[in-house]
Amino acid sequence: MNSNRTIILLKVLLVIGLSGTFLISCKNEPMNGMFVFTRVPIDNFAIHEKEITHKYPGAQIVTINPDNPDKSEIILTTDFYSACSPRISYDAKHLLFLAQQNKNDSWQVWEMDLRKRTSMKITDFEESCSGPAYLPGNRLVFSRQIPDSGIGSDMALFTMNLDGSNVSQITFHPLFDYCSTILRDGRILFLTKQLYPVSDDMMYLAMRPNGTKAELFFKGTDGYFLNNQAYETMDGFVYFIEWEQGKYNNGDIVSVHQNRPLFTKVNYTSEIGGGFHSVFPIQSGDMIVSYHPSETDPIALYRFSVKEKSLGESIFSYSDYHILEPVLVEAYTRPRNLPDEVNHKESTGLLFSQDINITATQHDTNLLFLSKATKIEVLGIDKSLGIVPVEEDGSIYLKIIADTPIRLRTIDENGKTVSGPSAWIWLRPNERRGCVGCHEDHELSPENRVPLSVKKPPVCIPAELSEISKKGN
Amino acid sequence: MKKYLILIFIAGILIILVLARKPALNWSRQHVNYITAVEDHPLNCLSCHLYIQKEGIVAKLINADYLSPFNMAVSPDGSRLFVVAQEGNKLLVINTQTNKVIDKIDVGENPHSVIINNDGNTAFVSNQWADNIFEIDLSLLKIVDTIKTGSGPAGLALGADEKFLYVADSYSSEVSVIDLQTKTEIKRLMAGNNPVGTDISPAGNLLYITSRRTLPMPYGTPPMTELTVINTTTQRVKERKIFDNAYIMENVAFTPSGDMAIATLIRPKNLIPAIQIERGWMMTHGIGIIEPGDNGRIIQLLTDDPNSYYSDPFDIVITPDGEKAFVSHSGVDYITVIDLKAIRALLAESTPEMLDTYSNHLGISSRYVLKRIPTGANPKGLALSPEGEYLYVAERLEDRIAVISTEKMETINTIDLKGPSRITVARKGRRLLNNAGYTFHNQYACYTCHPDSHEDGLVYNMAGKDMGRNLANVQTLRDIGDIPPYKWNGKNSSIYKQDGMRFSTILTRTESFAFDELDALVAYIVTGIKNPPNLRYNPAGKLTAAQERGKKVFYRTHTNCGKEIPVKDRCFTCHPPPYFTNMLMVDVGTLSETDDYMLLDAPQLNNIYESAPYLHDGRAATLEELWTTYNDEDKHGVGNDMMKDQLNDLVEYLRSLRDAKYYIEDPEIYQASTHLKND
Repeated sequence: MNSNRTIILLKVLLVIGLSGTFLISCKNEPMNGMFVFTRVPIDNFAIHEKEITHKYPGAQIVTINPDNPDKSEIILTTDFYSACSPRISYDAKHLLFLAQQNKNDSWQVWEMDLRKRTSMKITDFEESCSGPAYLPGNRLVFSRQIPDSGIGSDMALFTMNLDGSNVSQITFHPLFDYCSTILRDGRILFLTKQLYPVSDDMMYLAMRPNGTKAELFFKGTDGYFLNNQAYETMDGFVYFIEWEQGKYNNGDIVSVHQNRPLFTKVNYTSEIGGGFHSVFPIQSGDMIVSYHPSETDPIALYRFSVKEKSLGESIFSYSDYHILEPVLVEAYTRPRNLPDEVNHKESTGLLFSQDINITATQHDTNLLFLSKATKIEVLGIDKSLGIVPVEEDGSIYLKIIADTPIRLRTIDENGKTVSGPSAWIWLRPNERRGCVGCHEDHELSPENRVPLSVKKPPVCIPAELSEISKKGN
Repeated sequence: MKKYLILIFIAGILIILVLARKPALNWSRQHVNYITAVEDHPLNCLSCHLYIQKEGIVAKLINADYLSPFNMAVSPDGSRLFVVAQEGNKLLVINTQTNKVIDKIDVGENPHSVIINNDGNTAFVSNQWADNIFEIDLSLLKIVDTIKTGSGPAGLALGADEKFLYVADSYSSEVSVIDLQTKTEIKRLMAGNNPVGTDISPAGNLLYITSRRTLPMPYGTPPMTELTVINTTTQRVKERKIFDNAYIMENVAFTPSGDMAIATLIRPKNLIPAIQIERGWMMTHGIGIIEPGDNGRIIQLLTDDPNSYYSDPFDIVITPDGEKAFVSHSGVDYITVIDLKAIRALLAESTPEMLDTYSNHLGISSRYVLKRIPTGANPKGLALSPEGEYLYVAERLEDRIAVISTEKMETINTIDLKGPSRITVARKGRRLLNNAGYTFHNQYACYTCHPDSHEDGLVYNMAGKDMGRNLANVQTLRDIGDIPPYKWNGKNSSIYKQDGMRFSTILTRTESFAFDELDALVAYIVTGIKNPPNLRYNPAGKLTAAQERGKKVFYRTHTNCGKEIPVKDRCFTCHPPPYFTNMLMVDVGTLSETDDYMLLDAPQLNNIYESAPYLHDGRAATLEELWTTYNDEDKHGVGNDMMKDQLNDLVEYLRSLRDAKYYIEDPEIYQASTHLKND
């Protein structure tokens, strides 16, 4: 009798267990192949084209099945007042996004488990964050507003572990920085816009995830603006949206090739009317794009053929929402996990320039009349940090206080500026960085010769640096 | 009772095993951590200990005999392709209609090149490790003669009338001129340093010979590599064309019109602080263009892109119409197709100043690179079919030949050479060592600075803590598995540590090797890299009279004045056989002002004749200079009492040193190292 009861009890437990598993699995169904995007209420959609970051009050992150879009729509961020900027993890199991829980909250980075549909807050700052992206090694990069240091508030890039620990600022110049994507070579591609001393055009820079070796990746045509999101395909093309000033609704899909980004721009949609707002390449070689035929139409989700340079079928649209920032839930190759040379026990970095008189390819007749520079001045935000005579071969070797924005200006023997000031640069602690010249051709590699400057110890900038104790001491 | 005893015994064993498990794991963890210098390398005894077996049954089971196709030639009618299998010591004959291997001819050790005469009835194969040429009758597919050459015969060229065969002697840096009627070497001409590639001008009157290593240069100056021009009429050197700031010029090809010849080359950045890879800071790769005539220009152009490098260019061929050149890049597994019309246009419009800038310009390749064609692992030799419609590519570490349509510029077929089908761990490691994909932007492979797994003869500014300090002379990778520590300062106690995490931070500056990749790389370095035979200075193990005298100097215990030399100051104390290193750290008074203080690892001396320059920073251009210039205080062994003829003898003896296997059974002198250790 007792054994019968036990058997019945076990059967009941088994049924309950199986049912539970079934119900959980229904909720935990994988999302591979689904499209995820941000839907923005048309009434809340306002773009200030000169701004790098765009956040949309009341926006939600939505997923659809492309095979049955009308009957598969699911809002993934119902617990949030606003959510946007979805980014899929390399294994397609998680989703990074930006959200505010309540109307007046700051925007923070969250991560969603795409099986369980549960979200976890990653950043928790008073200031708003934006532009999150996955980095190799269970880290992420994002932008965060930093306090006004007297020249206006800017957005710097930070990295941190996905569990919210080990926050590290990685850009240190008076610019707006926004992470656009992680290149397959492991570098961060970020959109940046100078604020001080004068506002400048947007450009893409590429940099290692520890904030070292930042260099120009792509600068658009004068008067053109760049979208804050970009994606690199397996064959090395980096796609993004570019638009002419004042024509935000007429954005075009363009690409550059990672091998030679400064000179490989291709416009795929110059012959197509309407405007493109977001682009996401998928492994088939096509793309999913946010597009509207005219300014008065809602921005909808379309396919786009790169090969044919033609717009494909409309996938999904709303009458009262725009669809932006589409991504496909699909595993993709993790970028390289680059080693880290930054040593936070150091307070300086080393900068070497082979010949400050190399300013561009030598056949540029506009530069032939420049006088010879004999000194270089290192400029800080609000003062000169020092003037250093260069060696006879034009080389300089400087030890510069780290994590501090500087610009460089070359000076002739009469004290007149030869070139510069340069764009803002910074060195990370223990970073060692080299340049061929100043304002030189970005595709020029150095001449192979022993520089005179490195035969001596580096010149400290600022001069009192030798008295600055090491960090942590 | 006996039954219980057995049970108790088994139980006891089990208990001991259970109790010993944790300590054993702890010991293993510590051991692996010590060897690898990281704390998370998987605990797998086999991954290391199994695959580093050099000899015995296990070694035979886990390794395989690969063919490794290297250079090739096509018969004049295009019906047969002849492939030198460098590791297999064979000449493979392929029917190009069926794309099948139809015969395998055994040739000498480590064959390098093959050339076919105009009638298509005779082939010549250079046996680099045998110092001879095999003449092969192609109707019989048999070796019919053997011709002695200089040391390390490599590239081959037939004179226009086919009466003479020219051989680049890669180890003795000479060119052998062979009279094909008498089958004898009639003269040797001095070539550049480590000559390899050859081509005859379309008119037949000029022979160009590339070389790989820089000429001896004043310390701290850029490499300069010679392209030797020989007048085939007079059979004398006509000119020595110098390529500034370039080396590893593997091969050269003339255009059919003879309006230029193009050689592959590497432009290293060894004198610049090695602080980054971005912007071509460590290595760039390209071509050297030689215009004919007395005033012909020498131009260097890169084949790299700003963010993507095409490392280790090896072979070059030019289509019969003179419009395209194909270059194999063995470090990245690509063929670059070059538009020669665009090259001609660029040269015509450019001033010397512009061309000088272009030699360092990473974007200029967009003017003339038509396409990059992917290949299998480690593409080396190239050969065109007679009409130029097909390009054959020797995929060395794939044991395969790729067939590329030169019109479509894509691979249309592959020919399986029927080597071993499995990829052994060591083979995987060899692929890693040869592949630049493990360096940021593919800028260089291990092989780039260690060509033939040896060293490139350059001194690099590795910019340790400060730039401009601690210059490092590249060391060989040959047979180094048993002689830790590694690096001149001996900081790396194992190859695992040498090529692990720090390697990626300092050298490759991209993601470090995965654990299984590191296991494979170590397996290859420990087991797969042999010293070539020292046929030049010690062909049969019998020393010359001078070498015998030099040996006595090397092993001497007393000076010429009869004073006993302290043990620590004797040559053989720090350099005992079989590797001629005691693997200990020592101060020999050779540090310079630019060195941080350190002790130096006593280097091995096997095959040292081919490792110039010498000392940790490459200051000594020759072995002689070790004593004549850099040993004032006798810290590098007592030697200032030596007479000049004694020094000459000592150098001759050192040049005779060959692979360690020849010195293992030498108890007479092996005691020296133990003496020091006991001290």
